[in-house]
Amino acid sequence: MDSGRVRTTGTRSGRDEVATPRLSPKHRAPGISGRTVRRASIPAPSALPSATERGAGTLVLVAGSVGTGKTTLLADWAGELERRGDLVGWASLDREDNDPQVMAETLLGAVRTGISPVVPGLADETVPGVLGQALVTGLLELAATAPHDLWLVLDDLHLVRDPRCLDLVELLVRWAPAHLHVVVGTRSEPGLHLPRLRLEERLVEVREHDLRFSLDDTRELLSRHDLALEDEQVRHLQELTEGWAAGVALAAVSLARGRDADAFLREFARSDRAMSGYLVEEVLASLDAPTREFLLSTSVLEDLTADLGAAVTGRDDAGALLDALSADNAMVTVDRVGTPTYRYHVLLRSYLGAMLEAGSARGAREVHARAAQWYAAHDVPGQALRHAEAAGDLDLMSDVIHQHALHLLLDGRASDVEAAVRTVRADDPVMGVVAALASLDLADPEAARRQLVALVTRPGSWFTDDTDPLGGEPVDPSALPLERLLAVGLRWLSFVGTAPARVADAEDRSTGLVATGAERLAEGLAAELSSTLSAWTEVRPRPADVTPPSLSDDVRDDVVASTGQPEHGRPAGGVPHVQADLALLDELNSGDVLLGSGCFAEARAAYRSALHTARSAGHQMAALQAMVGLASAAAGREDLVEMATWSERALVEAQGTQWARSPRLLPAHVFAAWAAFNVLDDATARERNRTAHELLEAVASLMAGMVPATPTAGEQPASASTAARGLEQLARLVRMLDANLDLVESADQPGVRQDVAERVLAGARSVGQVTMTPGMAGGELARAHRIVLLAGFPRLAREIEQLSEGVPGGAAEVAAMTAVRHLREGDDASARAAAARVLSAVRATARGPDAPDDGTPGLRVRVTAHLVAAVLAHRNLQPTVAHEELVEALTLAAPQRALRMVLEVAPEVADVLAAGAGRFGELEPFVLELRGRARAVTAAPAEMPLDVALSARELSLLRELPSLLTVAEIAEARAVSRNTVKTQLRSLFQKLGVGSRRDAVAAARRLGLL
Amino acid sequence: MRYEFILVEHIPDVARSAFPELEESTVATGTTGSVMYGDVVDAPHLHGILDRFQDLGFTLLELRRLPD
Repeated sequence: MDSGRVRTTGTRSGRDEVATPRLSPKHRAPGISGRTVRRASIPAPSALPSATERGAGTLVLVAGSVGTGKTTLLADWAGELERRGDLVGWASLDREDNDPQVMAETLLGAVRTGISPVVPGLADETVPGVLGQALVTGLLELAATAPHDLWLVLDDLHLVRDPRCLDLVELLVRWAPAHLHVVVGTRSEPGLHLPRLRLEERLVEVREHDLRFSLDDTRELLSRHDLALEDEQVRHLQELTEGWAAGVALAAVSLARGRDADAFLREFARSDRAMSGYLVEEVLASLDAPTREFLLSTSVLEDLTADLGAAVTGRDDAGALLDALSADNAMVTVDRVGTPTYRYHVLLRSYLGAMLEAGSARGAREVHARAAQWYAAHDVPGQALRHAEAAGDLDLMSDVIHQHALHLLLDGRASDVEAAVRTVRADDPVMGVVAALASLDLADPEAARRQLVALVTRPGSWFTDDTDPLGGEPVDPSALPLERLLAVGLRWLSFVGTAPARVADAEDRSTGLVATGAERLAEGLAAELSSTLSAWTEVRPRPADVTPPSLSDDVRDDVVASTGQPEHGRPAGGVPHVQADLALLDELNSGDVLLGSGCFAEARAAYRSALHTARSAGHQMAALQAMVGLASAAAGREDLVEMATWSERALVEAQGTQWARSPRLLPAHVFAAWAAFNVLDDATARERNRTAHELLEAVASLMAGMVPATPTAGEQPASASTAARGLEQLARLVRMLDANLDLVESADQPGVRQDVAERVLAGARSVGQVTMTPGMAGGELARAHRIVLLAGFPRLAREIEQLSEGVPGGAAEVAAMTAVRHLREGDDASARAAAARVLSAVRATARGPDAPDDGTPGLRVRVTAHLVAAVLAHRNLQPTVAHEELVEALTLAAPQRALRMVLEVAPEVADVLAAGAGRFGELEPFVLELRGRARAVTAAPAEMPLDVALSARELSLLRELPSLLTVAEIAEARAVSRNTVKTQLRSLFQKLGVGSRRDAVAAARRLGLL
Repeated sequence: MRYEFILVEHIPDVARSAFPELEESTVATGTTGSVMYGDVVDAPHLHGILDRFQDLGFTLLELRRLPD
């Protein structure tokens, strides 16, 4: 809105009434009043024929400095274009659009509003969760549905500086088809490749000199203000203002208030001040003192409503005053859809702001303070914090933080909170905890730990003091309940925090302090807390559906026990959103801790409710974390489909946001890589794994070498925190996948195979030295076993089996490993015995397929056992048994789309699949997919490919062979003689190296020709 | 880094306080415009000052870095 809006009254122009009421103000062109000057010299643009010939859209650039009438011109054009029958999508850009996600939504909104009159029902479409080129493609597809020319107006593009956001516009312009045109209003040269567009003759430029008011424009504007000046006076004014639209408009306002034209022009000419300053002062001078005062006070606000204006100035008649101003003054505009929102012209606002500062700094601070209070009360914590900071009111900032810290943190604004807390530096425990939470959120566990330790060790703090620190003080019901906050912080820390011993060392070195009793207490508390919590959550049947019982009780018990400080029954937070935010943090943390202790089903429930809470509260970061958690829990439960879905969803949603490369998404990258690997998408797996690797290194350096760089460096196993364990586990998964992919890519190089086997074995040998849950250790060893076998080292595989025997509850796992090894070695009897052990264990504990983590062997074990049995039966020429076992295995594997799991058991699986082709019923699509991929996996092909290629005729004949048609019937269908078919068959058999029709079909299936 | 800004217009007093970090040169330069100078922390600060000039409707004639 920076422009010479010449005059806006409260009356709405026609086009706004037509517009859908749901349009946000951002996507409405500002209204144009009857006093607006139509710029006859700058008509609305039309598509350039030179651009249309190229099949490209036109870019119209309206560039001029402040107050040259850009926005007014664009709004006027928008009306004219619509009257012409074209479609117009409008976007008033602002500073918020410096976020690619926001910018994407803005552009999408503009396109949508443009085509919504002709393509109804479109507004319900969801925002595509993609950014960059994909988003622009989506926008162009959407724009392609428009039946007429669509003009996309982007006003105030100069406010967007982020290169990623400008890239979106750049792409949009570059790829715009012939009927999509972009109109840009800007104060500075936009970062679009204008020279290129100029060369392509796709650019229409309206520059500052074009925007200058001509003599006629000046006269018309004056006449619209009912001013009749003599020609000489008009010319004089036009010369003095140099055709600057805002200047003429300001002069008109002054003159309309009864100023004598000649005297005004004389003084104007004599003034050596900047024109803008002189004119704004003139206008302000024409207002009465209270109105001036009102304008001055409210100038700190970008948008104001009557309510906010009243709160800031203390004037009940703020609404009426603003109404009068907007009706009468060119520099105040109003948006009347919904609650009327007023806005001052940037020129006026800048001058008012400067005057406010000059007048009295205290006055400005008071205004900011009142604005902050209003925003805080209306639940806009970001603005509240900003104004509180501008007010320099530390108490107010502290209040805002007390009430909204969680809201801000969950919105991913940890850096704002951190800066604010640093500014306040209050000696107050809640602030300490908030600072610690912010540090944790900024992935700085060391700082968080220091803050928490400082909090509990400070002499006289509520933690160490014998007296009740908050006693006597009235408890603010809306403030954050300290105990729960602390609990959340400690729990978080216990999860992401570093190994205590190491940190204590660092602390000793850096500060020369010996760990105090309280410090040890804090650490003990953190450890205690996670175990208490897991015990507590295990008791609860479904954590998500129960209102979390006040966790503070858990903490308080510890505190009471150690400090003898009796305090109970303090009210928890009273404001709903505080409760919801706390619940959200709580759910996320519960999920993390449960995940760390291997309770995957419970963790899943906790993450699910966290995701729900985060979505309804609009906390994107928290939602991402919940999705990452869901992916991790799914991985723990061997639910491959869910693992793939959640990890991919998290990554897609994070793409383009500030969290795209956040270490918090590391698990998502790892699991997405494995998910891709599971469905044999090696390229994606490699790429995701590479990202995971980079993130891992970032995290490792962040956590100061906590993650052992080599798999053997698992010292201090007992003191490693849950997070360290989780990270170690992820690192192992990444390395394992790397090895696996290396093997797949260069299976024919003995050197690589040797290297991979050694890498994997080194990892496997160290499993016993680091703390891991039995399930994780078993999974790791099984993966290692598979790789070593695939690399062709059965002896090493044996060693891994021996290692696995030490893992509790791993008997079935070991049996499955042994079975596969024997199968590959050709020792059918031993393989059969081992597979039978697994299958009997499965049948003994069979309690439905959904109970993997209580004794029943996991999915992979069961699938493997059935497949081993199938391959053995196949070798023994028992096709019925082979098929039955295969179907059992596939029934388990198909819902998870576990392609690799099936194929890597043995190369012969492909043969069994081929033999049963056409007899799998519902499983047929899965089988087809498996067979399509079969040759990609079995490292060494079972048979040499054909020496001689089949001819087209032979191939088509081959397809007829599995049918029941006789040679005569085939010949008849092809309208050839029987002998021709027989000749072709002979040649076919010879090429396939078989002697019968049945063998030919079998061979063709093995080769993938059928 | 110290910078000097030469404006086409003379800055009115009311707008002076929008630039607390700059001082106005009192040396006659032969132009009618204001000459402002002061410490500039970094590039964003510099652009912030330029934006403020724009917001207030001033035209920048010349901008240069002063020897420290």
